[in-house]
Amino acid sequence: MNPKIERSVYIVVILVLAFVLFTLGKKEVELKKQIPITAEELYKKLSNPKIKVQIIDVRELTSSDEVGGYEDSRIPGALPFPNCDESKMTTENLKEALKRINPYVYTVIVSTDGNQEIFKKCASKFTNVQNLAGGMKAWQDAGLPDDSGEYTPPKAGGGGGCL
Amino acid sequence: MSMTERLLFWIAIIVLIVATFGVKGKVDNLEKQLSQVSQQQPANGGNQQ
Repeated sequence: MNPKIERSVYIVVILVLAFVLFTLGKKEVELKKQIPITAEELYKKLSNPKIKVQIIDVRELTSSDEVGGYEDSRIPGALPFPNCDESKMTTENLKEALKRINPYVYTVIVSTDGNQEIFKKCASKFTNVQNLAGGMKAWQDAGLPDDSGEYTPPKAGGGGGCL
Repeated sequence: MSMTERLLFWIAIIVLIVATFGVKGKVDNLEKQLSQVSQQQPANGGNQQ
């Protein structure tokens, strides 16, 4: 076979396979968005240092309800992003948290009870995102570790890890 | 076309095929999970979330 034709055939096969892989990858991300992650699954992921997970807590900072707000009880390492609204990020700490939010990292959205409305609002801001099934209430009910207090950015070199 | 070039093309093709099958497996698994979730939701009165 003519080398030029043979090379072209190989390149076309590679391009077709790459396209199929890309399409399937996109489909995987879309499906993940529709399936909420359970508190136990999230805990397992957080316990594995090889998996990078960004947790975004969309609850208000303080709340008088049973579950509480971000500052009352949160998943360790969670970043505050009340109602997924940048205009609410007014204090120095929240501005710092906003700077740390990376839209391209695998993200889990934490609300009070896994509300789909707020999740849909936030999901548009992230490329690879899942909802926490049952929200913070499910995390607390499962007896998993939590953190409290004002958000403090991790010190340089200290990493953002938590569990 | 040299044998080395041909071999590199084949390696790329095999890597892509393996990756495609891997992702296809994940997608199938997620589709199964999604159908389970959507079956559970009406059973719970659709107010699970």
